[in-house]
Amino acid sequence: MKKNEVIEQGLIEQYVLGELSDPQRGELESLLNQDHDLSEYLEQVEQGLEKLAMENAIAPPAIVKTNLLSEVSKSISEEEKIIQLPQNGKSFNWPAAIAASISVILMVSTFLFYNNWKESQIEVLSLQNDLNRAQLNLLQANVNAQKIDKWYQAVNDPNANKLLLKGNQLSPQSVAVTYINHDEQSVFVNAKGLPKLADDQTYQMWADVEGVMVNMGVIPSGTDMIALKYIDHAESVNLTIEPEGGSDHPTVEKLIANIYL
Amino acid sequence: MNSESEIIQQLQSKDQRALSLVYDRYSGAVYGVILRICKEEALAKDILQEVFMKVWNKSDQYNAKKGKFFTWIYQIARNSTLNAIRNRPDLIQNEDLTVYNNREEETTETYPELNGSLKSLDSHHQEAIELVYFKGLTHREAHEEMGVPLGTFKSYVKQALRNLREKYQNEIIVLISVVIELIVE
Repeated sequence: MKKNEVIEQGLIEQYVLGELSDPQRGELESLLNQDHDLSEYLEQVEQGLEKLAMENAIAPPAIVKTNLLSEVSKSISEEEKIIQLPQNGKSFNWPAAIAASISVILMVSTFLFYNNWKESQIEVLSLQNDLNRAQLNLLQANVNAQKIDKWYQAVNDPNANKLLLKGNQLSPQSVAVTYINHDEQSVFVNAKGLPKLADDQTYQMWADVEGVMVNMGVIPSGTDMIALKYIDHAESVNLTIEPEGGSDHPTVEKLIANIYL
Repeated sequence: MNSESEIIQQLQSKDQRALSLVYDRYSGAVYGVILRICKEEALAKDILQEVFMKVWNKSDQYNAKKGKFFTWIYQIARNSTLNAIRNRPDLIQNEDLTVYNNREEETTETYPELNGSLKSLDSHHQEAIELVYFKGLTHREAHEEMGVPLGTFKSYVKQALRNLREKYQNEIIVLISVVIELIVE
């Protein structure tokens, strides 16, 4: 059977109409498998004839469908009866097999879910950590902003007296800018100009009140800006270098700056 | 809506809903063929039910590689109807086995005339298609019926189908251009 023969002899049309003998049909089918043009031609013939049939459809009486479906249901229930016949012990146990399959599926899915859940938990924890860290940062930033704002207000307050504590011969390069506000009773020190000290040393500020040195607070080495205690009736402020943590009484030999108010 | 291949798969796994869908889609077209071949309503109803019972029972024999699903159903319908006519008691009584001639003479009842695209074909093309497709004659029987050589008859069928195809393609082009116009507007 050759391709042009198939087309000339109208074999495709006869194939669609169901006229071909079994051997002819088999031969044509194997040819159709190999030849794309032929199978395309077949499809066109089929489409044309199907459309013709659709155009000339006649609605059958509804009873035919009812009868058909009831006959099918009957045949199905008969098949089920056959399947449900009692089986001997060695036969395949369907319920058990189904139960086993379900439990395998459950085990596998449980394991997968558990793994997923664990991974999710780890992820949640790490996200929580990130969130906590971000919150802490924000808090810190807020605190810093408030502090800076406070300093800014203090420094720019028209009632704040700006005093420059310049270092004596013990520490000539030292400068501590002190803002004293008698109305607000506040003291701020910009300690940027103080040289860094050894780890076991710190700066400390004192107020001289009628000959008595009163502690105003410690200025740790490396501090930018710090608020100190405001002392009433101070005649002067004095800066000393003290052992780490500060002293109760100033080490007079280490007095590096003082200024009268 | 389910695609045809999905419905066929469901049918092959014995899903009754699939049979119902297939019936709704094709029963009219199949009934049109059966009724035109056998020309007897009571018989045509029985044959239609038998055809769809076969579709249900033998759905696993359908192979999409060998042709369209409707073609498969059409062939079942055609064979079932021809068998039913051959086995009809009155034919045996008459001892007349020339099924078609006998049938034509017997029947006076008229069935819906063929229409649609078929009507637009030349009359000899129309007749050729009608004989092989809606009357169930083989090519050999039909060329004798028409009184033309077999080769000529074959080319009638081929030309008829080609003309139909061209008409469908034109219809589709018109349809597409209408849709495009609607979209553009």
